[in-house]
This record gives sequence, C-alpha cells and structure tokens, in this order.
Amino acid sequence: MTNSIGIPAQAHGVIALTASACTSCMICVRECPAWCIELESHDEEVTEPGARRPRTVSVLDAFTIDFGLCMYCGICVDLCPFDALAWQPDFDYAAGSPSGLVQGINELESWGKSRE
Amino acid sequence: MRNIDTALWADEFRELLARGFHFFDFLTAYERDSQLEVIARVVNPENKQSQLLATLIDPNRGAVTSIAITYRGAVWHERETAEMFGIYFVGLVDERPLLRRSLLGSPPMLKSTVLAARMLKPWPGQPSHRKQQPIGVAEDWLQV
Amino acid sequence: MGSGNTLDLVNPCPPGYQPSSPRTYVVAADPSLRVQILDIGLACCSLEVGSAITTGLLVDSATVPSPDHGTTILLISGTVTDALAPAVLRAWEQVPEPKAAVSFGACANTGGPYWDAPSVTKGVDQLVPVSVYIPGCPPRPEALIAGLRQLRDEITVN
Repeated sequence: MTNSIGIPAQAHGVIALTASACTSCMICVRECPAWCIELESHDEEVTEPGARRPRTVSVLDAFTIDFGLCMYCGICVDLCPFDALAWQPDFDYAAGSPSGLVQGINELESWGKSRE
Repeated sequence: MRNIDTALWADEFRELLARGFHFFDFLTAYERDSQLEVIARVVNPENKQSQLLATLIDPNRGAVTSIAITYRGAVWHERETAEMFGIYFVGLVDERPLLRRSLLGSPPMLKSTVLAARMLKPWPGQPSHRKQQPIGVAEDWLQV
Repeated sequence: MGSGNTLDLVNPCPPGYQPSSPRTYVVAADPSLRVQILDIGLACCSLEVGSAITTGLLVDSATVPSPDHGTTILLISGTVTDALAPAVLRAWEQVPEPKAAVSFGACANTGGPYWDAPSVTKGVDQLVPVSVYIPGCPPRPEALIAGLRQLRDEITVN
C-alpha cells in the first residue's frame, strides 16, 4: 500500500490512526467539517491490581474515515489530544467505488507502518 | 470600510467612477447579527487607492439599487448575491440565476437556511446520552 | 427573492458545444500505459493534473511513439455543479469508445468540501460511470499516475 518514494515525509497524503492511543473522545468526529469520520465505542470496567475500585475505559469498536469526502484539512489531526491521528505521505489508495475510499481501523492503522 | 445609506448607494458609486475609481473589484453580501450588508470595492488604477463600501439592507425591503449601470462588471456579482442571499438589486437587467436550479426556498447563504444535506445525513458526532449540536447548523436545527 | 423568480438558467452547454480535443500522453515511468486525457479542469485539482504533465510524470505521446491508442480516459477533476452537469455529460458522450471515466479529487468523488452545498453535484458518478476514484483534496500528481495504473490493471484483467 505504501508507494511514497520521492514524496516528502510530511506530505498530507492520508490520515493514519493509532487505535491504542484513541480514547473515543469524539473530538475529531464532532469537529470534522465534512462529517467524514465515524467512531463507535463502548465502556468497559477494568479492575487493576491494588486499585480500590474498577476504572471505566472506552474501548474502540469502529473508526472510519471516508476519504471520498475528506477535505484533508487536518483539523482532526491538530485537535486530537492524544496524537492518535497523524499525517502520512501515502497517496496510492484509489478505489473502484466510493465505498472503497471508506477506511476502517485496520487500513487506517496500516499507514506508515512499513516505513517504521 | 465606509458605511453608505442604502438610498445613496448607487449615487456614491457614480461619484467614485467620476473620481477615477475605474476598476470594479467585487461585490458581495455579509450577514452580520441577522442583518444583511452589501459590500463592494472599487480601485483607482492611477494612484492604486481603493474604496470599500458597505450598506445595511433594510430587512423589510430587502433591496438596494444596482450599480451595474455604473460598473458593468458588477452584473455577475449582483446576480450571484441576489441568488445566494435573496437581495433584490433594483434595476439589475439580468436576473438569471447562476447556480441554483430553482429560486424557491430559502437563499442558501443565509445563516438561517438549514442545508438539506445536513438535514438528511445523520451527524456522526451525536452523543447517545445527551443532545448536542453539530457546528455550522442553526440553533433550532432538528434532524429529520 | 424579489422579482428574481425566473427559472431559465443560462444553458452552460449550448447546442454545438465541443469539448477541447483529448490529448494523448504516456506515463513516463510506464510507457506502455498510454492514455488520452480530456481534462475537464473545473477547480484547483486541475492544477495537480497540469503538474503531472509539467513535472514529466505524464509525457506527450508524440515523444514516445506507440501504435496502441488504448482507452480514452475522461479525467474529471474539480467541483461539478448541477448547472454544469449537462456539459460534463455531453463531454462524456463525445468521448470515443473504448472509454473510461476517472474521478480525481474529493469534489468529483462525492462533492467533498461542498458535500452540503445545494448547487454542487454530489459525485460525478451521478452523471457518468466512473471506473476509478482518486482520493485527495487535492490528490498529488503521483496519485493520478497511481490511479491510471489501477485503471489499466482493471482494463487488462477484464
């Protein structure tokens, strides 16, 4: 999927997700002017050893960006308090249908991985 | 920016043209505190000076005199402003819309106009446990 | 809207309208990929298409002769409004077979930043059958080449 030879590393090619950093706070979803991000999550109680009471954590179930709609403004990247979203220079992800431009957690997490 | 009485709007531009402001830059409208303002800019190419003029549109009348007789280039701008803000330009010879198929319904550039696309598509940011408004929709916006 | 209730739009596509002739290019890095591009440049995306040509990613076919004329690609880049839609449709109808349409950029793909605008067509696939959607706002010139390769692969497979 990565075909970014000769492309500046800071190029705004695609938006990558680090799912483990996402707290499902919904800031990106609500601030997106194109309404192109969708997020689903549920709460789970986690009891850590030695803790007095269980902690509630948000678990990410689904995260999609519709790159057909996305205007690549980067507001989501800028506003994410946990740096879960980041630009990657990849550009080679054309699709044969508009639904093929809707990327889920697996695709969004794959961007930039092969260069690390 | 100079504020001009709507009744003197066209006269003011005639005077500016006579004073050497031959270049018409643009004309558009602006919604400020639920009131519409028409703004236009002209330039004097000799000394590079420019004039930015504004006039507050009386909401009951919703009209201002066209300046297209003075500045022919204003025709397109006035057509666009009429179509997008619903302002009537008195004396504008060309009233054909540029982009809208039909002039029925609320002019799209007014803040009170709720765009159909935002009515039909569910806002992905809606929390399950409380009501929250998306950015860029009217306060009384209701999801269909 | 005052007395402005006339509905006769300026016909953006008068009878006898002729789109500019398609020009033939080959992909510099892959000369077997030969395309005729009728570029309908409607907005900022068309600058990226121009950039693909001026930076040498696409080169004029006259410099790389080939007997194969290939598929004519209608590359639609930019914001299509409903008022302009008939012109895009007519351009497509006038492209000789075999042909394919490529949508370049968010506006052509879905309406993009203008997804809520009442005057913008929400995707050119409402007008013509699109084979490849190239994402970006705007896409890089390299993305055009990648999209054309993808289209060629699809044509080859079929």
